[in-house]
Amino acid sequence: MNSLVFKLRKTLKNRLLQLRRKPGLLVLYLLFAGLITMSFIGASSGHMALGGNTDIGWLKLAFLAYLLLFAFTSVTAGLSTGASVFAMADVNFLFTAPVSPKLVLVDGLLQQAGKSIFASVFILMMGSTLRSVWGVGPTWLLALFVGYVFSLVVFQLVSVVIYMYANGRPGAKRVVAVVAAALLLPTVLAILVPYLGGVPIADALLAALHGNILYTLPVAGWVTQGVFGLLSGNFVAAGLGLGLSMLGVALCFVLLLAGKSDYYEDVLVATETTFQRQRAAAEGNLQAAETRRKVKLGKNESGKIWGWGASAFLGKHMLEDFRRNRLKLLDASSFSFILTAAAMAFFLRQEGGLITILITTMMMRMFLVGTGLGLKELYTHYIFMVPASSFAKIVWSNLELCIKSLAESVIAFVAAGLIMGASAVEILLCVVVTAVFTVLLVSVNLLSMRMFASVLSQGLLLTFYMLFVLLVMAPGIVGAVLLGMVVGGLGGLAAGLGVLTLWQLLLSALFFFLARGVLHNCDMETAAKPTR
Amino acid sequence: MIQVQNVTKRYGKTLANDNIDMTVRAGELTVLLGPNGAGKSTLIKCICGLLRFEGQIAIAGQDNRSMQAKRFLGYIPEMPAMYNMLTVEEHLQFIAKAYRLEGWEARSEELLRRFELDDKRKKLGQELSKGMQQKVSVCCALLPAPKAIVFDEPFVGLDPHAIRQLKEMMRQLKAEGAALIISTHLIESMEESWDTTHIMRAGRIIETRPRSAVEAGESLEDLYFRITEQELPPAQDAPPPPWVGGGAAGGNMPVAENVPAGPPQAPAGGAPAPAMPPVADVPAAPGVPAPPPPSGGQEGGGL
Repeated sequence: MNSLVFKLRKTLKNRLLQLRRKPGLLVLYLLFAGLITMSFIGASSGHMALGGNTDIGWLKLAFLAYLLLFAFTSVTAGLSTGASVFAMADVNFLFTAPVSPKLVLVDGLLQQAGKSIFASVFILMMGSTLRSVWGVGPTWLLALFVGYVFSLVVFQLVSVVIYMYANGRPGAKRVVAVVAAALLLPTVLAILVPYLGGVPIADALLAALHGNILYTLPVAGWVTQGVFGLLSGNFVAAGLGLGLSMLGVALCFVLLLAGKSDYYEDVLVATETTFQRQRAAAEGNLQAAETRRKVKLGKNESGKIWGWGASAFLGKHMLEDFRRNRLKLLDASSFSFILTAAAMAFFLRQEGGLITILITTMMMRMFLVGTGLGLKELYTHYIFMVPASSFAKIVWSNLELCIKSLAESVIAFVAAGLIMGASAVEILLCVVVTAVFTVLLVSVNLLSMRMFASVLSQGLLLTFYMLFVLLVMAPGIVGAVLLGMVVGGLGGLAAGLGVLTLWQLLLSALFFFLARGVLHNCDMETAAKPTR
Repeated sequence: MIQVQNVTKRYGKTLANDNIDMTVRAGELTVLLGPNGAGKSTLIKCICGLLRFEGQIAIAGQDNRSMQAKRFLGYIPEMPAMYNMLTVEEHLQFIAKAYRLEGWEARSEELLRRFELDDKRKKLGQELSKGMQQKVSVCCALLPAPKAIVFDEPFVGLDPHAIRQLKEMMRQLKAEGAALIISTHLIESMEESWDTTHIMRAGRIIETRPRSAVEAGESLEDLYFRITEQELPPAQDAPPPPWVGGGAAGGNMPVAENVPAGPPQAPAGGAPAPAMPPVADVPAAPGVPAPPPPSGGQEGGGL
């Protein structure tokens, strides 16, 4: 016990001391702290622009959907390599040490809780949205955050338990898969039956969410009922939901500790897999760090790369995308982009809603720009060594992201436009603005590489990057808004977005020019910088 | 063929390479030696144009970042860099297209055959073991028939057959007039074919020695340890290792199980052989190979 307390204490202390050596990380933490504070202020006293009276059932649905997504991930992980709340150092030092496996498990869960807190911080930044749409305050923000973190920890535990009992037993795996799917059935039926009976889908969904059917969904449904029961003053629902959740945790503990003499063997594969990926990422080998999807190639499917010289990079990227993703160019990030636009369109049908969606998707694009293969290419030596001009290699290498972004924007805005009843011109303009914005982001990336190379920490670079983009976009945005207001109507919207597009193109051209020769003037990217 | 002049590389405040000078002629095999953190990989990456640096590096008389220089240069990184979603043959196809190679197919077939990859040509990068990936990495680097080739720990992860093939290929490339730089910790793997060695430490080349200047009977490994251990503090100043008598734990530490004891000694005086080898025989760190057999025989390319 003392050794675990010692480890925890030293880890926390060293994390804090690390901030002295990594000022960029400190700046990032302070930025997040600032954003969270703003969010809480927004949640307690923000303007309720959207009325603040949307049915709370929709918030419950969003929360439940997130938890179900993690539930699905934990079950599938449990049925494959398992999951682990441990690090490789725990395997090497703790598993072999004379420390009780029960205490080691508690230690692992505490570590996992720490990671989950970081992974869930985004909830704390949604204060203004919660108040604006649902009219709820900071207590809700905090409760949703705690419920979310708690669920993530429990799902990891569930994953370990599934792996322990199903690993190497195909029959048991089938049983787990069938049971997991069957557990969804009552909720699905509770929505589907009224819907087929003529009730609108939105009403059917809300009726299910306000009823008791969610108690049939272990962990995800229980936590949702518990949190929302507590917040709405329904203490019976809260007690039942949270009580069932705690019982679930206790059951996992019992299964984990009593099922076998120890669980160490069952978490080993997942821990090693995670460790190898992390090490590969730290060494800059992003390909090895990727989660791998099984791909079965047809007989004549190999050996078809398009391109010649620098354009071979685009040919290679397209081939990689088409193999990696079931829906060719579109990956998981594409779906988050498209679904966000569609979901927002559902709630923001009033005038100006499309612009709100445009702004949100542009913000999302700033984070998604890292999903392009062009940036990942900078972690391998090929792009540096191929005898072609630096500019040509960079352009061809990043074209895949631009094409992918265009495809996502077309689907997202066509879907949003149809939901909102927007005109074809409005949809087209939104597509063009977001697609050109991706080109601008790529140019900013290259410029930051050209200027800072590898000197700055990633955290600081990200912070500067976001601030820089907001700063350079500001004149274009102001111009677009003013022109839009002066002209007014659809013409104003077209003129405003046209100005914004031109501004983005101008900036992109300037940044591409300033970043010329970038491959000759930057270090090959590695996730961890060598000390020598 | 490869000229490095006054090259200095800094990572922030860390001086990774300090004013390095080095020349590798056509048909010369140069071995870079040095402990971990000596700056070998950094120097190699500078030569290949993967890192910025102060100073000049020329390949065949051209600036190493020029397109002409890139056509001459091949690089085999320490960590094989494969694309998960490309098959083995697509890696070679990609290189051929990116380098605008004509009639590359025959050379590609030859490389795949030599490295026993011909039955793996339709395997995806993610399906290969690290050793297989390293072989593909070698094939990709050699496909454009470079004249200056830089290997960073090329033998790590390779099976004995591939090691033999790679050594044979290095000899062949050298005979064909290519300039080779090889950074390795497996010193004995280079005993047969090296021409010049540069021994690095703390970012600097502390010794450059052509093969002709090595004392008779001295192996590359002997030379390495003689040079690198010269600067160590005298033995009496260093704390005695725990297995040396007089330590708190006594003279019979359990390390005896982990340390290769070597052939039993039979001193002339009939005294019992020492239980432990002399300190100098103890490997300094994992990865540092054991000394060659006492016969001085080199491994003769038969790994």
